[in-house]
Amino acid sequence: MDKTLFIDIIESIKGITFIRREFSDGIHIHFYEGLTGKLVIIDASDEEISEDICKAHLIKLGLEYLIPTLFNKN
Amino acid sequence: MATKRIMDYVSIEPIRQKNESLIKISWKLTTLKRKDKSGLLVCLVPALDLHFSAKDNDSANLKSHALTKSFFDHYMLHSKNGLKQITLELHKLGYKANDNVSTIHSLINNRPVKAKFKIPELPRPLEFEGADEYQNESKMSIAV
Repeated sequence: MDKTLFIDIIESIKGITFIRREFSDGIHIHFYEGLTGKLVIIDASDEEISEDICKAHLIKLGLEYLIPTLFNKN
Repeated sequence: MATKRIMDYVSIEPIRQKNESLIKISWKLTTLKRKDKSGLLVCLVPALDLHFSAKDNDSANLKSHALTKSFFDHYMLHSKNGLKQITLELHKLGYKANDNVSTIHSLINNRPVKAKFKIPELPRPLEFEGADEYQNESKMSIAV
């Protein structure tokens, strides 16, 4: 999935807290707190994020309900 | 096929240098890498539950270092009571130290003690069976 689209989607959800971003060793990193208070660290360096990784992030953020709609091949 | 066990660790050590007190955190953590259907590398640091993707092996290894370091930075440098926060987080992730109860009690009360946290029996996730491994060994020191 396009990285910018993924970031925009999760940041639009009420309850997802953007904590901060950093640029470390050439890697863009975003820090979020998910719906259950869990820290989620997202690599935002590349234009594309693997679908499997997007799903993993959504689960950690407490947004697994988005997986069927965002990744429905039909 | 038996799942391969991953034995990673994080160690915490107080260091006294001249007029400065430091906490040295060092780690040896495994990154698993497999290709997804689009050709991207899907990567996982099981011991920290870190997920990321990369275009190639070099990029994956670089990101493994950067993201792992950022994990520790976040708790030690960007959180209040960093030692307590990182100790609690390691405990929630399943890490155990020798004399675990006493060690954790000291650390969460901001009394740095030397500790080596290991994750006992971390099975490899099924989707990463046969995945390549990369051992990320590094350290950092923070003034307290």
